[in-house]
Amino acid sequence: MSLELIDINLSIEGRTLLHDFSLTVANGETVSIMGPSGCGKSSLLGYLCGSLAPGFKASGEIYVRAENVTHLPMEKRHIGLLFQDDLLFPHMSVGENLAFALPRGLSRKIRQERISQALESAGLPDFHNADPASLSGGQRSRISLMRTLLAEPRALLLDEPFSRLDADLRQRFRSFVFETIREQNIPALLVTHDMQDCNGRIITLADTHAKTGVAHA
Amino acid sequence: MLPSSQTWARLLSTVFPFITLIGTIGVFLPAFGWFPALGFQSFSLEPWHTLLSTPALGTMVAKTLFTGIAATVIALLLALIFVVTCWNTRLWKATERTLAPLLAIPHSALAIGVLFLLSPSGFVSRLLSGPMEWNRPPDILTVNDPYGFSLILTLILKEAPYLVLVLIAAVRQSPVTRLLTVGRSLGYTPLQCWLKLVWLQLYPKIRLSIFIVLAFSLSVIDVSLIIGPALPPLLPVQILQWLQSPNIEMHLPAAAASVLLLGLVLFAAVLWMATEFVIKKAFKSWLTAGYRGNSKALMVNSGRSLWLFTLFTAVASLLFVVVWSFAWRWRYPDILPSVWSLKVWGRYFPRVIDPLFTTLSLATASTVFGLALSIFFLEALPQTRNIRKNLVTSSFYLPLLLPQMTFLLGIHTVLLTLRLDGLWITVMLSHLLFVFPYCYLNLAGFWRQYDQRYTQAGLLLSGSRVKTFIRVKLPILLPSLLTTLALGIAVSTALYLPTVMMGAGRLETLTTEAVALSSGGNRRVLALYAVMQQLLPVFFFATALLLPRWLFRHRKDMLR
Repeated sequence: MSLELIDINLSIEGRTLLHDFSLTVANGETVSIMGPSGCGKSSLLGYLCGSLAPGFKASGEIYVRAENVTHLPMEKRHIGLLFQDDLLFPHMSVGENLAFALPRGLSRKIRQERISQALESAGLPDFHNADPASLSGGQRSRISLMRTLLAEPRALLLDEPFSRLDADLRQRFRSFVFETIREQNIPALLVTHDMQDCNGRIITLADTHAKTGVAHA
Repeated sequence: MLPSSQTWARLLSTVFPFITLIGTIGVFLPAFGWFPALGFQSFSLEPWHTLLSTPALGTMVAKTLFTGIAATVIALLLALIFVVTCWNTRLWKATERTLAPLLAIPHSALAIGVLFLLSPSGFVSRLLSGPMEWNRPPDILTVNDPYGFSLILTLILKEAPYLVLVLIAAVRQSPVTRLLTVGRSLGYTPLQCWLKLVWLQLYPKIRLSIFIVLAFSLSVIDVSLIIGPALPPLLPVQILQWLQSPNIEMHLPAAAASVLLLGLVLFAAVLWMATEFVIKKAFKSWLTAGYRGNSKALMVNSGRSLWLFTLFTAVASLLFVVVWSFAWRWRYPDILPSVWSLKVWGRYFPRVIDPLFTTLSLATASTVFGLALSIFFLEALPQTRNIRKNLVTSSFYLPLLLPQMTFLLGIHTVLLTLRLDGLWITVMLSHLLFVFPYCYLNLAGFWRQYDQRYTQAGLLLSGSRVKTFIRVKLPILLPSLLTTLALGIAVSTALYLPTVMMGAGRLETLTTEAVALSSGGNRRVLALYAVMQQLLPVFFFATALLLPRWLFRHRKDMLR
């Protein structure tokens, strides 16, 4: 009951992408949403996190831990995002990137501990002062996930987070992500166009160019 | 291009930085008493004794530093407020459209506008006269005030838009939307994202422009003459007055003072860098302390209003100049003229014609030279991104980063020795020193964007480099060439010190005349000159915008 979408409708320029789409994602569960490009899967994530591009029409309620976040600004929703690109901030060290995500008001000691733990989990214990630019693609992705989680999100949205990685890395990072989600016990929604990325429940969105855009779960 | 053209380009590209350096070093000779052309042939510390015994030298130095640094800091803050609060709003787009014409207008014309706005009998005073029950202009020093507040305001009105222009270009190259999305998904308000994520990445990109603004604000002369403190004036103005004094011995302390000015600019630059360092250290923990911020609509709205007010004041002061040039009868408390007339234009326009032609001839000649040289460098200098190339291009900035007064005085010393001052060609070449870097830097951007495959296709078809260059590359880049031409004209039109110094007072341009008239009483004539100062660059920019539209009216892809 941790991430709940109720009757989501999404359309652009009169074209319906989603019609009365409802979904519940449990804690620790990852639900994957698949479909061809343009079917509205990324726009759904945009609506959920509050960054939907202008031009879309959307309605429906979003509940995170039983709190209605539908009309809250993005920064108040407590929804974490993981993108294709790792988007580590180039002007901060790896440790500072992680520290940026930590909540306010923690003691210096606890901050340090959390960061060390996160670096440990990412398998990069000695990288606190490293320049993000010196990291490999896989390392950057792991740090990026850790950064997202340090902000203590109540739900996680993943927008094709594996698509930029090569096959070998991809497999390892995938398991890393799903394990972490289970450990943290938060609900996650994953958008992808690759069946292999999925884990658990899969929802396929129809090609909406056929004008009858209805999701079937 | 011929194989030797690269060598030529390498050689030529060092000429301007070399002249600037020669000028900067050359000024040390008269500063230490050696100026054979004026009959001083022995080194001594006498010029420094004279300089240091000048009454109020300390005040001059302190005020010069104060006005220059204050103007730069406030202009930068305003620019910061603009990008942080106006992004993705209509005001951003409106600003983009207003900036080019605003920046094309000479500093001195804007200073005259502010003079008309703020002077005791100016527009603001007229607005206040009702509630304050003033029948006569109040006896307050609202312009030329001893602390230089009106000077600071004028500099801000001109430099904040310049920094905003540079910032807008930097924003276009930055992934602002994505940074905001990441930051906000981590719980930060947009304002905090701007400060902690976007701004820190933008700042390094505009740093050079900040130093240009700093050097300019510390050493500006024309604006200071119009609206700056008078008794005592700021140091650059004092130097000019010594140079223009009939007593040629004053040349030597003037040279010493311009070495001092160079020291002030360097000091301010070092101070700036030290402050950057301290702020960076102090804010390091703030950056990652996790403070998410509260969204306060009030703060965002007041930021926007502040920027709108800045733009409005700049535009309004320019419009007042136009109004004054048509005002025949405009008594004190009246908000607008009671009698409008073309008489000012009819009566005084003949006086403007000579300076107008001098301005035009200097501007077109220096710009055409500047453009030709820039194109030559862009074509002939090896297009590699190595340290040497970077060094060459950065050295082009030198005339913008050093105080004009210092290196121009050094060059002048040489020219005076060779009896080459006061000639049109000398003044034109001195304009080139400033016009060229702007032309080059502006064109370089367009040259980089040009799709080389057009040239390759042209070469394959025509088999001639020259033909391909003239028939393919130049026409495709014509719109950019025209805007650069307009920019060069605007830069030259605005130049005051090079014209006065190298021209030995024999060449009168719109700008030198406007500055000279600004201390006199006839506002209408002054307005006329200032309007002409505005019209000239605006005319060229409008042409640069409209001509390609007409020429390529049947070539849709050229108009994008």
